[in-house]
Amino acid sequence: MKNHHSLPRRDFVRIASGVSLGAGLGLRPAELFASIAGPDSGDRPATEVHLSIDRRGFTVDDRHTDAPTIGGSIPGPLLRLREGQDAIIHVTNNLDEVSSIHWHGLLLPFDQDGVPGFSFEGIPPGETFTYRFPVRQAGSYWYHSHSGTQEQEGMYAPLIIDPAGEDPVRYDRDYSIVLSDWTDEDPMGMLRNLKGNGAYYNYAKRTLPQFIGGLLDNAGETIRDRTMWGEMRMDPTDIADVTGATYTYLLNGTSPAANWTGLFTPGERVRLRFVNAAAMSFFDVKIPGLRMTVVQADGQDVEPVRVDEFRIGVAETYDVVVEPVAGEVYTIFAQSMDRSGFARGTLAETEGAEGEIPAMDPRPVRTMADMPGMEDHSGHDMADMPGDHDMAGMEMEMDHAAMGHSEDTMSLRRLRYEDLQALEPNRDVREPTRDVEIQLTGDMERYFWTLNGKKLSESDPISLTVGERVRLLMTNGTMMEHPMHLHGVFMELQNGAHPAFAPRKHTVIVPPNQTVEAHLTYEDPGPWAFHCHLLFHMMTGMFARFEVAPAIAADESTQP
Amino acid sequence: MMSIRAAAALALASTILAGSAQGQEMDNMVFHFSQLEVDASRVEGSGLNRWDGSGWIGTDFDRLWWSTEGEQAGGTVGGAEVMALYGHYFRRFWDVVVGYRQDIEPTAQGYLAFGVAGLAPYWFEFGALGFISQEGKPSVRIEADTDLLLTQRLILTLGGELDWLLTDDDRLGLDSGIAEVEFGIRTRYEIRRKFAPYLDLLWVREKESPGSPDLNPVAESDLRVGIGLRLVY
Repeated sequence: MKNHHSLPRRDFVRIASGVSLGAGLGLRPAELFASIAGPDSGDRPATEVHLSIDRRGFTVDDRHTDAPTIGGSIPGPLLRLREGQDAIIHVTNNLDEVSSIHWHGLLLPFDQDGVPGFSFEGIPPGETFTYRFPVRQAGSYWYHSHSGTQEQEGMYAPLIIDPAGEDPVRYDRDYSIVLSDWTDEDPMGMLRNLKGNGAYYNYAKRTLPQFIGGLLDNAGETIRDRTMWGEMRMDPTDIADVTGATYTYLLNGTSPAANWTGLFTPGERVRLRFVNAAAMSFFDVKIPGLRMTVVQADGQDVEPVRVDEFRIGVAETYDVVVEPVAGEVYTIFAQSMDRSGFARGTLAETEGAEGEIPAMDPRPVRTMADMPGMEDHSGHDMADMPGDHDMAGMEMEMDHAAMGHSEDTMSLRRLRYEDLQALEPNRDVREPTRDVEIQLTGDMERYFWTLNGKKLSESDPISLTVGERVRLLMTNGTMMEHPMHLHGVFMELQNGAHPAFAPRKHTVIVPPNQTVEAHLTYEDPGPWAFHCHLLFHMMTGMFARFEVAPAIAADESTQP
Repeated sequence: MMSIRAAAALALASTILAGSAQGQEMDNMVFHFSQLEVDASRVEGSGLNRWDGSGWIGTDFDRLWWSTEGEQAGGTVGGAEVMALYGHYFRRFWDVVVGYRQDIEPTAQGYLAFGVAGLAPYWFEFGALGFISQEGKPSVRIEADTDLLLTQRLILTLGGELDWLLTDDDRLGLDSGIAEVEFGIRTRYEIRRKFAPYLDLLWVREKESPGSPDLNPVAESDLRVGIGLRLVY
């Protein structure tokens, strides 16, 4: 167990050869060694796990695929680690293609992050890769393939890290709730469909009869509205690129018809650990009849917030605590943001019980405020922070102000990003000394997506240094929400909370026509991935490389 | 035919490349799209079949565009052309294109082709092409069409095309001026996105012979009614 952070020489050579093949790591070998040779962990206890990646048959209702899976199931097995221990995870790839596992949201050396082309070359067919890293955090996370379209096909699973000390969340029972979007279509075929027609899966477009109806109703407004959208060549009904036209939305790998059920005993505090492991779908989650207390976001403890509903972007996680009562059956209802379908499950005292399934809410339509450049939403304005903004396009009315005054009110309390506040203060509260501005860009018609107008393959890396305090400004110039995921560090979301209590997120939704600000400090050097977590956005170029140099190297460079 | 073989080779290469790529930088892969529409109508008592195919293969930025259109009446091909263009994405929504057009019927003739194509404001698919024939005669073609949804699957396509000879063309036997105008309303029902039967209303006028100053109906009636099928691959 000695020195298990440093790679054997042979492995290092393999990484180095990856560099020469064009991965463009940008770090000198000495720096590589510096970054991977952590302090000797001595005889710290370790959790050792064996995982295998296998192609398995999987059936949802009447549709069937042979899909790459982790451990033979979709989702893959729950991985449970403990903070302060070492994780040793042997992953054997039994596919006939290269695969990988990325530990989403975990702080670890870059060469354990599992991103082909960044961390390593991937796990070749028939080979075993052993991940070794100290577990430096607690909370609910997930893990998934970072190779090709394997994640869409079924390679995702929940990961829970129990805290070293006492858990600030009091609960009697917990369930992982993994939401996903499943299809029997070949994902590359889906991307090809979108390249041929960006609205291929949109069956809720505006029609001529609606236009005529609008003219009769308010001709001036209707013509102005249509003219604006037409001029921009943008579609207000483009809420999701891929929809229920092909997807069945799953909860823990189970279709709405098959109804996943979690049991409870009345009086228990039940912790639900939601993961959005979908490739392309945001969900609005509610459990009618149950108030949810949000206790964690992206694995990080937050001040408890009582809500009726929350939106979970692709790759985000939320932990909520609920207190179901005797004699009730509850439906966990996760409707896709575009209302083309839903995932559902049940909380009940006995197997086989079924609660009422609510009707889906009205489908949101984008408004002029979402249109890039139409209004000045130059960020920093708290009234326009993400959670609030989402409401702008929603047709359903939800009165935030009314909440908290009366439990009886009919209005739903919906989680907003401004509600999130870190439970423990952030370690680094310095003012940023470095601004990194990222424009979220793309072309819905040609169907490719970019950062600062460039695909990963065309762009230069963004160079940072360990310990450097960074202000990340993400400005969305597209018509869609993008769940932006930064590897290797938490983004402290500047949501109006005191900076010391800014919530730490690994994935942040950036709404259309808005700027979201996050502060961060890297502790680990390496090339780190930054990308939109919508799979087809990432695959077509919405991806950047953060090159984080070790602090020592920076010092050397200033003393020639 | 060359272009089809070249396209097949490119497709094969892209498959092999895609299979070997493991990094995150494979973000500019080769894709392809093909659409074929065939329809049948009756003009002056005899059957008239038309075809209109188009597609592309390439990356987001560089594509080989191909198209073919023509018609056949009573077992004889009355008009047919094929075109292959290299297109480069030069700004959002737009490609600049250059390539070659070959007319097969009624007059076999080759052309250098160049122009722009893309999505114009208000959702018009738009193309403006200039041609220089092998005899050095310039001409212009403007095409535009847009979709109007009656329902999510019942869709009207309004389209038009205009061919304009900038000088007299002896080989075609036509004087300078507008050589052909076409307007169409095509109503398709998308049983699937890739499989849609349609009803076609087409209004065509074209110049028939040298010296004729006017555009004339090609048959007794300006209007043709056809039924057809759109296939997308």
